[in-house]
Amino acid sequence: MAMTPERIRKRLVRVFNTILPGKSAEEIPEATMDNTEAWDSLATLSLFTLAEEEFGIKLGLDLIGQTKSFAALEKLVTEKVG
Amino acid sequence: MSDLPLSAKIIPGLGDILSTGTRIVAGAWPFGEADSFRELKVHIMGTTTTDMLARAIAIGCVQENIRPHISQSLYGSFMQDVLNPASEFYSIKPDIAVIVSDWRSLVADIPASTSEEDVSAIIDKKANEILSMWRRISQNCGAKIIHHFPPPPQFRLTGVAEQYLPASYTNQLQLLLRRLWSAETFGVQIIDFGQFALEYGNAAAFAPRSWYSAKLPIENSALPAYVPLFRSALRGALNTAKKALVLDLDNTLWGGVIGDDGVDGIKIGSGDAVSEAYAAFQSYVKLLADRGIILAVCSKNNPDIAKTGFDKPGSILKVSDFAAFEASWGDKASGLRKIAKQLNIGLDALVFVDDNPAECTLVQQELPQIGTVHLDGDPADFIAQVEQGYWFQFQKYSRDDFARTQAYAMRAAALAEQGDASDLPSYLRSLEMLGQAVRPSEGQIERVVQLGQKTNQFNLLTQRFDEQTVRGFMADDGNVVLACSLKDKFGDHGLVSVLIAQKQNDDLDIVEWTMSCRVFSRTFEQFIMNELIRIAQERNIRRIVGRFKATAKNSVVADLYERLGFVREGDDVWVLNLADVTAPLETYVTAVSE
Repeated sequence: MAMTPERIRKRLVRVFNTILPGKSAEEIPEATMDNTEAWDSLATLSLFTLAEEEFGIKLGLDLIGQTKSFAALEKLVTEKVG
Repeated sequence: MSDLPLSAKIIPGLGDILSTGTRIVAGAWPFGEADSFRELKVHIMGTTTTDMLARAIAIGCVQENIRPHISQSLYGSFMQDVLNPASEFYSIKPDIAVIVSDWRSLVADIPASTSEEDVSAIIDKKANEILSMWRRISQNCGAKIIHHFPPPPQFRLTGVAEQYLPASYTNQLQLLLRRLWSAETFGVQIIDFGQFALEYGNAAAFAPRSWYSAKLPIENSALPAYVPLFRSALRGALNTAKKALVLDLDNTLWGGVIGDDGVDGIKIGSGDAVSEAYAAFQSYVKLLADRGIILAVCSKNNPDIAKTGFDKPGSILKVSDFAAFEASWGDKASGLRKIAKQLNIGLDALVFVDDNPAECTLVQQELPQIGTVHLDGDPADFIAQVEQGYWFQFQKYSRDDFARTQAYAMRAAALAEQGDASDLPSYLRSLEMLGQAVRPSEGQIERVVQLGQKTNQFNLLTQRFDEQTVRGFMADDGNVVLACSLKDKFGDHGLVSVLIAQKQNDDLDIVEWTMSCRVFSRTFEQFIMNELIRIAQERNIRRIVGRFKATAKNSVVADLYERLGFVREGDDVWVLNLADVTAPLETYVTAVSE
């Protein structure tokens, strides 16, 4: 039943693009707070919220401060979904 | 749902809020420069963070056809901003001030043994603080206030004993809200998150984790369901409340299709779950009518057959409960236009309810200003489906609300008669109207203020005077304040017009004149002006001066002063020289003495 990594990636890229538009689907997996304009802590909170809705999971809000890249977010989501 | 335009969604998507809402808060505008949006400055502040709430508020504004310019106080500096006249808040001069309070900022930490009297005194003090803050905001910058109050804390400690313990947080919050609600509130709109928590789920909407990590006043995932609640408060603040509920018939007010199944075949009443659910929905609609919501029918049906559905035993609603009954084979958008015209209210004051998705989509596309509710699935869910739009959200009831439905039904009956009368004068004469224009009594002042606040169409200057201002005018005997009431053969319309004129040397200057839309164009305007002229002549006044300030809704009175024989003297200024008045204006309203 576990979701494939490709499927998670595809859906999370869509979530990311909703909150932080401007990057291509190829660029998004490489996105970090440093290389992404407008990515502040509120944007991270928004990413968490929309990812929670998309995957039907709860992410720990205490992790907002340390989630500074798409890769880190993807790891969190994969742990919860898998 | 996702293909719907944003304005037609009752509950917007979380993505709408987090992406579009974010852009609007940041100052961008993704909707083009269409001038159909009204621009308003909205300032958001409170004892919580407001960034995420602001995104939802932005979407709610867009759905109400408003382009908001959003500013926020810094977290923690809300009271300083309100108390400091030099703060950014007062230099922005917002049109709408949104306040959010969390429960920790409102309750006092007192021993569980504190007596009822002591708790009451503490709450009085807190209520006075809030009232004086509202007064300060309202007087210093004229902003309309929308204040969010929190749900009670999410622990019940020892259960029912706690709930009724005077010192409990829950009790303190309830007491505080009750005090504020019964005070003079400067038109403040109260949003009660306690009620929202009951509907949405306290744990889901107000999870403690969001408070600890980000001081959020409400969970982000609950923001979509919150938006319609905010919109209702916004409509209240802007006097654009929904006034009428327009209902389809087949599979909406009863089960089945009356044209096919016959009156015996439709399901309404008791005996089975479906009939009971439809009866419960009719009872709900009837309760709304009792609270002043005007009812109308818009149905594709033969009108004679359609009406027999309400004769069936078990039908809670009767044909006489509807102020307009549009049953025909024309499209529903045209039907709704006719209903708005017949009731003399704006299309944006209508809520339309139908089970047919095609009809709903047509109305959503053609008339997005109408609130459209698509009833779907089990009729047992219909009430909840209507309720989630928070369409009819009053802050307070007035006696006038309870009488309104009847008054509109009277208007509909009068209009039907108008269709029969051969010409307007004979129709107006046949109404046997009796009018009165006198200084308001103490008991009428609430209604006098309310008319000025609520009336959009017949409102010459749209000043929205509050009670204090009206009393101020009345305190000077040189001024004229007229509370005007009208009766006709169909019934008593009550106090339906207010005219306030201020004495300026030898002039009487009309500073406000409003009239309820259900009675205008009946020569009551002429009747009131005759009375003002009579008073002015008694007092040796030389001229009566009237002004008109155009708004989006008051074009119906743009030529009022001209029609009453005033002469134009400048752009929006009209003058009546009393020396030129030879005869009273023609009116079909007869004066009654007190």
